[in-house]
Amino acid sequence: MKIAVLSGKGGTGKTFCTVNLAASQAHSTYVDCDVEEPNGHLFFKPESLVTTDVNVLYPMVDSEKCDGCRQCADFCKFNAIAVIQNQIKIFGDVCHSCGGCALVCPQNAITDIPKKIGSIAKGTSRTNTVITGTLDIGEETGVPIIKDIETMLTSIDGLIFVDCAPGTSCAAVESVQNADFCLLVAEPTIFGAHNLDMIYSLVKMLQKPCGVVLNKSIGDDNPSLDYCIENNIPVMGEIQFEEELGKLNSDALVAVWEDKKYQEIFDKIFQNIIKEANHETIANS
Amino acid sequence: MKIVLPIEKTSEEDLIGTSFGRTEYFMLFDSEKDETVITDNKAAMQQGGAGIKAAQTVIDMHADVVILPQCGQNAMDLFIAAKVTVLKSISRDVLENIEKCLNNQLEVLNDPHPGLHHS
Ligand code: SF4
Ligand code: SF4
Repeated sequence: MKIAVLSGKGGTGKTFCTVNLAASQAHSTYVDCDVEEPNGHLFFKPESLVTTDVNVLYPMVDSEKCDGCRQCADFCKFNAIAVIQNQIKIFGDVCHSCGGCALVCPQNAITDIPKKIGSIAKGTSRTNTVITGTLDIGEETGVPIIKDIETMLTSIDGLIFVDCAPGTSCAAVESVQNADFCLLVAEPTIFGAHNLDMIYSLVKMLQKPCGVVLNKSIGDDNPSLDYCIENNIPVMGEIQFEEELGKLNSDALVAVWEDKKYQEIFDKIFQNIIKEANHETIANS
Repeated sequence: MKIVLPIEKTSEEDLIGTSFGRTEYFMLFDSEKDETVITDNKAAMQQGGAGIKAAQTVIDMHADVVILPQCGQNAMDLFIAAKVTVLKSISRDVLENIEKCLNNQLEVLNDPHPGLHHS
């Protein structure tokens, strides 16, 4: 079973929730798909890391062979190719690596060359498997990394918790598409409720069963909870704002491993997810 | 000298377009022959890379100079490679900018020594 953990923006405690959920379930897999800023490994400190590069293909032109016929430029839907004085120039930041220009070139002047854009590291922390995707600095999109991670996950059994890219980016959509359940992390503020609305719209559009974790709760007033009630979204659990948690977090410690109280809280959230997911499956069959 | 400007047609008069890549037309003014030619901007409706395609159109018009409000990096790279001088427009008034251009009163946006600080 694959559970995608999402939030409307960064800083809501998405990584905190995903790390602790995964750590609360022995032998599960934690996957960091927040490739621009992967933080989960700071808590897990995984060992025996195996790292693989993620490459995309970029077209390279052999200017000796190119006669400036412009067929590649005319073909490219993304306008990534320009022709000046019978020589072509390819813009890597606009190119979508479709491979088309290499195919249409009558002179065979274009070759697709792999270029590294990031990496995936796999390791272990206690009984957990920890997978971390990292996008190299200056690269535009992490989607190819998330696609490679998804392929890797097809050979992993058991429980998988995916720490998704924040917001409703293409990268987040990519992770959600293959999930069995989406857990939305929301803060107890009006902005929190607004961000929840954004991410809930995405999950609804992709027709995924979902539930909400109310994080950093203080007192009774919680606009995110009101939003859940209004929209009939099941709440999987609530995590109170506590200084102790903040301390554990800033020391990069896994809360459920430090204190049994948190193990119970996260295990309860997990049980609720299972119940809700089964309920959804029965309702839909 | 061949001067190219991005143009937006309005009911009143033609103005310099606010977006280079998405502008409706390009106007070429040839100061030697004193004639103007208008070309559609094929990039106006394109999803991505509009700046690159628009720059290609301007270069294909054999411009010596292009006058525009601002220029993205990709388009700028192409103008430098094609040795087209990029000038910053001072208003949306077409004639005013052409006049200032002919009197060398517009700011040059191209880096005169491309690659010097990067390589
Ligand atoms: S690979 Fe595709 S997107 Fe990239 S330059 Fe070639 S045709 Fe354009
Ligand atoms: S299609 Fe091939 S030969 Fe023609 S311009 Fe492109 S690279 Fe050059």
